[in-house]
Amino acid sequence: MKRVQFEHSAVPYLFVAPQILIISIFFLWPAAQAVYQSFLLEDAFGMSSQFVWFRNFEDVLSSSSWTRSAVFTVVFSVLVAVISITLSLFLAVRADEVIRGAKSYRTMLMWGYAIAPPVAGLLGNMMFNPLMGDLYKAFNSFGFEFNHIQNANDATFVVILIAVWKQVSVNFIFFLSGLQGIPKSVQEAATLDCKSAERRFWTITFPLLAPTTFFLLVINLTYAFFETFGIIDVSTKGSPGGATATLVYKVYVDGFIGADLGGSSAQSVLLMIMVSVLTVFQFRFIERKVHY
Amino acid sequence: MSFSNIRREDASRAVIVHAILLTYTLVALYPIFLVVINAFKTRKGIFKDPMGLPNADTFSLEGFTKVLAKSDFELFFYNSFSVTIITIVIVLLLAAMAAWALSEYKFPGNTVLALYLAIGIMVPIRLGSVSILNLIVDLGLINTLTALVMVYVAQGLPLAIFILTEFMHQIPKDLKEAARCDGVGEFKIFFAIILPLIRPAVATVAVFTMIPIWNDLWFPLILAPGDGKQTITLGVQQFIGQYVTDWNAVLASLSLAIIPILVLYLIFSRQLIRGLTSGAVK
Repeated sequence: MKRVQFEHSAVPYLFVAPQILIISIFFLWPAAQAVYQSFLLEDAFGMSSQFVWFRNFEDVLSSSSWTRSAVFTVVFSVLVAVISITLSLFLAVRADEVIRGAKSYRTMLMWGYAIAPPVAGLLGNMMFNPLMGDLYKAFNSFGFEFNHIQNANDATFVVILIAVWKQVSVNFIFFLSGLQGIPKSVQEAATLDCKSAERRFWTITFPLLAPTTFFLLVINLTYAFFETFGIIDVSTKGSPGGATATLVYKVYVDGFIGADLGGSSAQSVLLMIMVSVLTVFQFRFIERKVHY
Repeated sequence: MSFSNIRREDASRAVIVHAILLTYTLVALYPIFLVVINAFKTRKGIFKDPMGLPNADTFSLEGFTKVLAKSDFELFFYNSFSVTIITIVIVLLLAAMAAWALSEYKFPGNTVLALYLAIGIMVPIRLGSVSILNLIVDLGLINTLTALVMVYVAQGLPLAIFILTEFMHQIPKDLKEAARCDGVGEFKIFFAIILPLIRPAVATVAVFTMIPIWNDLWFPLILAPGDGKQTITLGVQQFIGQYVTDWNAVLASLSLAIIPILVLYLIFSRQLIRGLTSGAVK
């Protein structure tokens, strides 16, 4: 698409000036500050601080609790993204098949998106409450010795379950919209040429959904990294022993509760680097395979 | 797929499909349903029959009366509502302007700005929270709703610009060319022609801006946790922390947190779907 050229015109700059300002104040400046702060070590009273180069980073990277949290975050995010994308794609393809009721399913399944992460965490707490939680009772009646308060794997299972439960509805809406955006003529031609519904899905439908899937992958990983803070803060609070603390939750606990600003900033900077690398990776390697 | 239902065997397939969808719908809605029905029951009713609907014996509003008496839910609601609405208006206007500039004009910095937006969607503003907190303290805006609006505008802009830019690419060129040919100024083209045309995408952007703000716990906790400034999500979280074992109160406050957003959502959902299917995100 050819764009209009305005030589020496101020018009486009006037349109983007407010964003530049807001972006600088709330993204660039805080990011720069975080980088600066990550090189400082404050004394116990927060009265003075000294420049310590990479010591905060060394401390963070060598601490076993950070490494553990990093591993947990990666495993958790990948599982949440993969499970919720797969499940919602499956459901959306089914919903696209039905003629009657597709709209009601869409409206009802969308509700999960409206639920706040901390509220989802509370709902999870209720379902897994040892006294009256239905899921807690169900698991234990099947003979599992389910105990998410003491067992790290069980606690991980609970946070993944809540996070997926909340995210499936968002993915479902996007997939269903994507499916319904595929022209009927394409689908009809595909049906004539290819009898197997499964092959039709993988050769025609799925490639057409690739942009949606790519977009959702980005959104889901971001969600698992950052938005699940509310779920974790309310449901497990990182317990048992930090087994379910994501990196973001650790930034909050160390920085705002523990008041270790240098260490917390170093953690933030590490997170920024991780997410930036992930972004570049996603846009370079995955988007290339996506046909728009 | 209306063309495939000619075949007979599809009837049984449809039953299976509906069974799958209904099962998941139950899974998705069950916890919400459970909270709302139990909020209207007596304490005894909750424990005796958690699954039952409230009946003449078990119906009670004690949870709600307790919650409304002990915490200021009207105020929480007002705070959340004003922060959300003001932010949406500012985000929509600024994002539309930027999206227009990015999709329409070729100027130095265009690519840099577009790249920034891609990262802005991924790298969340929360990572700069420490310095944002310092900044807000320096500005004397700690414990104000203004602080929240400012941060949320910054948080909402990248995704909003992304969605609107995609959408603006689809506006027919002829319209703009015709207006320019008639000597209409660039600002007037934007406000009088472009803004009305992007209405379907506006609903999509509004929902995706509104829900994370309404539901956010992080920034209210850091920037405005004080009395009188709590948003509904923070208010409920604090309230529940105090009454962990008082199930009536917990369930009633959960319902109060869920119901307003569901109502807002239902109002917007039709436009949201229209925006999505007409290519707001593709």
